Amino acid sequence: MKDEKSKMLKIMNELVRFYLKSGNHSVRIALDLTDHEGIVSLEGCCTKIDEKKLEDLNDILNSPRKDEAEEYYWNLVGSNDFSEIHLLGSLVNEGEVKYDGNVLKMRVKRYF
Amino acid sequence: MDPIILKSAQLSERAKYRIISLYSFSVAFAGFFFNPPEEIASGLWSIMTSPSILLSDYFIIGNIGASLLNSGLLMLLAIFVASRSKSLMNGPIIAAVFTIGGFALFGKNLYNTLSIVLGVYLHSRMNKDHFGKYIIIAYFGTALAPLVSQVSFGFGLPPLIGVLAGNLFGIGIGLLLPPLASSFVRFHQGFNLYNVGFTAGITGMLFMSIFRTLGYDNKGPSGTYQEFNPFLLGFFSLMFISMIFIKYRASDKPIGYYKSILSHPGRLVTDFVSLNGFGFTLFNMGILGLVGIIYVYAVGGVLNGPTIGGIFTLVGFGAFGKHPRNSIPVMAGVFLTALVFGDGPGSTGAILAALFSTALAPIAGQYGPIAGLVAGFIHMSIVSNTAYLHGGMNLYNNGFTAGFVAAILVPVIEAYRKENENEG
Repeated sequence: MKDEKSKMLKIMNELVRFYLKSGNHSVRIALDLTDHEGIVSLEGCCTKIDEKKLEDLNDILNSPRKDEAEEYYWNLVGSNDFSEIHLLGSLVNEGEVKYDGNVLKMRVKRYF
Repeated sequence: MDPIILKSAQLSERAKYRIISLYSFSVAFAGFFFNPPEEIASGLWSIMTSPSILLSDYFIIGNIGASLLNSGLLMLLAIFVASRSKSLMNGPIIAAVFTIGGFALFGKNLYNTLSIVLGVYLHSRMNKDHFGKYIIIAYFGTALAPLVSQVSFGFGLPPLIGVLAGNLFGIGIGLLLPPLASSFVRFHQGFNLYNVGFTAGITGMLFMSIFRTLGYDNKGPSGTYQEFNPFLLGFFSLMFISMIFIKYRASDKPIGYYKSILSHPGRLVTDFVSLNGFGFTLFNMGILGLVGIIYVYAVGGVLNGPTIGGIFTLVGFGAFGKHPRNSIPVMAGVFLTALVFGDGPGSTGAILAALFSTALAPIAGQYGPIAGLVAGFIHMSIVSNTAYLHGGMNLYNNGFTAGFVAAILVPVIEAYRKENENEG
């Protein structure tokens, strides 16, 4: 559990950053933590968003965790002006990205 | 090597492990073409009992055969431990294996690296984590291997006490590095690819300051091998050319796909194996290896332990952030600075600065070649001032320097840049 809360906060920051960079300035966020997992859910309106970008994000979020990168680099996630979306994939177990043309919803899960 | 596996566009993990192992084995085996076994044995002993502080050319301290065997064996050992830790053969692991192999020609050996890795392992056990989570830190953390050797053999302590104290320091370093490496990465925002180099520089500075307070100091560097050796040139050129050709068996994508690798800025964490596949990653590594060799000879240098170490590090990070487009501008910055203001680009120090300055390749990748040139200039200016701080205990002195360069340059560039995009 060590650092897990900090890691979840950074994951949340990175995802909020994705919304902001996509031109969305209103995001609702829910963060749920248990002893075994953390879930971040986000919802916001995006009128223009590149669907290829969303497909890539979905692939990244569902790629296998990379433990060897996690411990070394997790401090970079959600901490500066630069996208760390690729690194996000190393930290989360699964993710879901839904976009209906107006509303972008995301839900990512990390097992502790 | 199994040709059936190689025909697959998506290589299995086993095949990737085999290919990297084969390169490591070839380095170890090549040693026997340079020296007979008895000379290699005595050379290995000299290497393992040397203080190994920066800059110690194992070609001089031992001999070429022993150095290559030391390098290949350490690479194979690193691959074996990675395999046992169930790590994927991806960009960070490939970078770490080649960096270990490169520095095993001028500072790392079978004796001085083990206690640091053991310390990181103990850290993982104390945190009830599996070692695989810390393996990158453990491997790059061997940058401080000279500290183990120097305490063991360089401070004039009684042999048993020296060996015991050296290894205890090694374990201590291993315990310290994981939290420090993870924290310091924010200092340069991922723009210094040798993050542990910066961490090790700070740690080495701490220990060296304490040693100096206690009245211990380090001797200066030993000489470097300065002969032209056509067999070394042939062996390493062949190795890098083979990497380029393996792409044609390991990937069915057209050569134009290489542009995809060249388009990455390269900032931490850019794992080319995950993003572009193993075949094109090897291709990029081979190209960078040839760039390194051409540069060394073009400026009038030779292949010796440190310069081959620099080329190996360039090649390894060809899987983890570096490519010609983001590396060459920074090297050019160092070259021009050495040409105009320094002793010329052909000295071993200037060549190493050029090869290792590519730690700052992400600056050129993110902000363009002019920023890369400026990064090279600042790097070359700072690098000669940093080694004293850690007394040569940190082998990644250029990584230490690059941390400062990135931390200075990136906020300044960002402050005067239009708020447009940092890729999101």
